[in-house]
Amino acid sequence: MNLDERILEIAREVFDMTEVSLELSQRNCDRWDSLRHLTFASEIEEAFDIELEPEEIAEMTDMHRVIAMVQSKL
Amino acid sequence: MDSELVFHHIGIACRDIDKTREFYLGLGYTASPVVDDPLQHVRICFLDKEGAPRLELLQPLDDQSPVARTLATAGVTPYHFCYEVRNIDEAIVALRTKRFLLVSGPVPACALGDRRIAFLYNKNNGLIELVENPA
Repeated sequence: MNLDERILEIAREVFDMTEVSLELSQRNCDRWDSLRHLTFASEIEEAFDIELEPEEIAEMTDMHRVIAMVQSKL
Repeated sequence: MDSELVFHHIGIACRDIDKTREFYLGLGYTASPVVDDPLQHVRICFLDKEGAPRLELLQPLDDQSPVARTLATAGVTPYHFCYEVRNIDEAIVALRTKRFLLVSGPVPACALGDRRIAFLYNKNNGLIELVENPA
């Protein structure tokens, strides 16, 4: 499983969706609420053993940004 | 480190402090003056009663407030526990090692005499607030 697929899998589990795509974002997903956003960030930290700053967590508003954020920390 | 976290209050998100406060005043709580914190985008009122945990009512001042997002998701609800710590920077570092995300802060909180506060989140423990009390 590559990085993109792993992040999509985490999103699928956190947002409790059967399918997710790279176009998933806070704007087009009702399930992406504030608490699930924090859980998503927490799962991303744990999965990739990285540390996210508050500003970075706030910027994780779509899959492309999340993937870029993780890639920049590996 | 955990033993140095001293319970301080339960934060309750509400739409209208006056309406929510009324119930607690009827239960015998006394209310602090209402304070607006533009940094946190919230209106705040503390409620105290002997033998009961201190409560903090938080009403969003605008749509940017994190409390507005909590209300949209969960309605009027308790949503964080707050703990007092002697050194907030050290407490944040210790909680980061336990997989707590730093959500915001540390920043001064005018409703608490400009003592520094921070919010952290853990997927198994939810949202907590820290308030520094160096004394």
